[in-house]
Amino acid sequence: MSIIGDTFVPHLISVKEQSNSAQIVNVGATLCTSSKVPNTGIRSGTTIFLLAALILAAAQSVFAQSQDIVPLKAGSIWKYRGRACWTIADSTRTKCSNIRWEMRVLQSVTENGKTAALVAGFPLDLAWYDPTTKPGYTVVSEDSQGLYFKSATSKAQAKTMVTQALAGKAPFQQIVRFPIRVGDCIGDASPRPDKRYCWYVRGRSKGSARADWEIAYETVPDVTILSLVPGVGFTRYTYRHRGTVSSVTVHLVE
Amino acid sequence: MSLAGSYTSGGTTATRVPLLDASGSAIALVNPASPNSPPPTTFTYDPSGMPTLSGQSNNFPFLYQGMEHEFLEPNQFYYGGDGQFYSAQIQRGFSIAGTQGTSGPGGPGPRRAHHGRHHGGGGRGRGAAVNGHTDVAATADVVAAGGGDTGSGDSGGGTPSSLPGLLEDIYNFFNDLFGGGGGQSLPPNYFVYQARLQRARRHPQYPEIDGVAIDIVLNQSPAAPEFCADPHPCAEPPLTRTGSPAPCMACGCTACATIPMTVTGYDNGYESTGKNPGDPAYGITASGSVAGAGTIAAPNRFGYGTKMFVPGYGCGQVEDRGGAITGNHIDLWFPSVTAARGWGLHRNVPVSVCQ
Repeated sequence: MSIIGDTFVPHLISVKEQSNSAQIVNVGATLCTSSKVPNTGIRSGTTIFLLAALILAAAQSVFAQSQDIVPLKAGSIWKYRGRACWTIADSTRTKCSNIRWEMRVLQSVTENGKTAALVAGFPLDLAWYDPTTKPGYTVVSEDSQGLYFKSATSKAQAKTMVTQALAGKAPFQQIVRFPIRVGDCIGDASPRPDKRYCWYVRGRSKGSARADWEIAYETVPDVTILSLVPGVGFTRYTYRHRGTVSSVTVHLVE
Repeated sequence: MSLAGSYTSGGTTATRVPLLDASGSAIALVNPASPNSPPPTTFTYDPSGMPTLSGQSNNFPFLYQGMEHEFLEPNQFYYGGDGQFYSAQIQRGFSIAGTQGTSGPGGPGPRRAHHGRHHGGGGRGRGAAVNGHTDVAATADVVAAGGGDTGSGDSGGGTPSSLPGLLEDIYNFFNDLFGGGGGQSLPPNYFVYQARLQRARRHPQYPEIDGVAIDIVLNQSPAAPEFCADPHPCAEPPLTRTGSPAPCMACGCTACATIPMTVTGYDNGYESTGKNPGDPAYGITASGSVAGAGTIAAPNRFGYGTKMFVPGYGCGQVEDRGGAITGNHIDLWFPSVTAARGWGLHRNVPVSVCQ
């Protein structure tokens, strides 16, 4: 994983991990060569060729994995805990409670370097939380350009959207653009000086040893903040509405 | 009986228990030491928050208890004549005008001077200050039809002769609802408003109208353009908590649809945003306008400029978006966080959306 200044470049991760993989492969090959294969020029050339092929294969494999800013593998689960306050429907009364939340990848498909996953309990489902809130279905997709999402009204619709995402047909909302750069305003054709109404990369969370990026979508009525750790996923979610009480903050706990 | 309280007057401390009606308002104070005696203090009040006290004076803290609750309940009409509450729901809120200038066999309803008062709990009503009230009082008539289903729209059933006091108060009730105290005027269209009143409880004085629906027709002027291409979507919105009907036409619409929505309130005050007026981007909405009275944040499918009538709020226009304002959820602008929180969260509000 590589962070250069205020920019995160997933390809650099690939290069670095590719290098590690190559060393491992190379060590293995060297041992094999030294113990069983005579060290001839022809065999050395073959070995180099094989090593190169292995390195390339390993690099491709690692490259594909390295795009997993949010690891979208079927069965992956993120568990969150936090606190929510909400307004009781048809009243002005409010209530707060500690909450638990789970995000789960139900299905994941990778084609042509693009991954689309059907996710239950995407953190954004927590907006306007009240005790009746249940995880919804969201399709999250990732390619070399960034991370996208689109919520679905049903599981069946979400499954259809997975196919659409892979085909690049559905209008997904981009939430992260690669390389990640502080100050980026994603999803707004005409960025505003106040960096509102777009997914704005605020920076890396202060005091955090991890490379977590704080991404906020701020509007006049509300603000949504996500912390994203490449390779881990969303580690924090905050929603706060300005006015009618509705606020949620959850942290990734496992 | 409810929570007891003590008050001191003239050096003497007395304990009284408020006697509450079905709506939770204190209608009398009872001396718990002699519960079988007549209440030493009674209240006669109206929904405008002007109670009068009879009997022993006091500074009992529960004088207004329950009244706010009443005003938050939609469509309640308190008729002092029988001490009962009535609920009103529009059956055909705005229909195509076809009976210009008629007021039905019952003739014009009696009129009284405006009280100059505002419904909505003494100014506590939701959104009352946002768009003001509409004013159709000048030529408003009241027609009542005893019995039958108001769904027929028949307003010609005549005025039950036994109910003049009730009708008068109904007239004044609606007169005030529509802005007897002033405010913006409706366009000069023929204005037909039909409502249905139902007694909340039977009263010995008017046993014959228990559960009976009453049509109320208010005619503003004899001009009669059809203001809704399809009257049905406009026919549903009920009376609002602040007393305004759902005049989609007052929002300048020619046609409208009613959509049940979740409605919340937001503000751009310092407490919420950390920004003051004058700060860069203070209250600049998604459309680029400055958030103000009538600004609505709505999902993308509602284009900027879409006009809506929100019961309890009034007319507004879509100028904003929210990160989590999606589906059938809209967010209404209020001038302060207190006002926005005072609106709260309401589900299934019949919002009229101009087409």
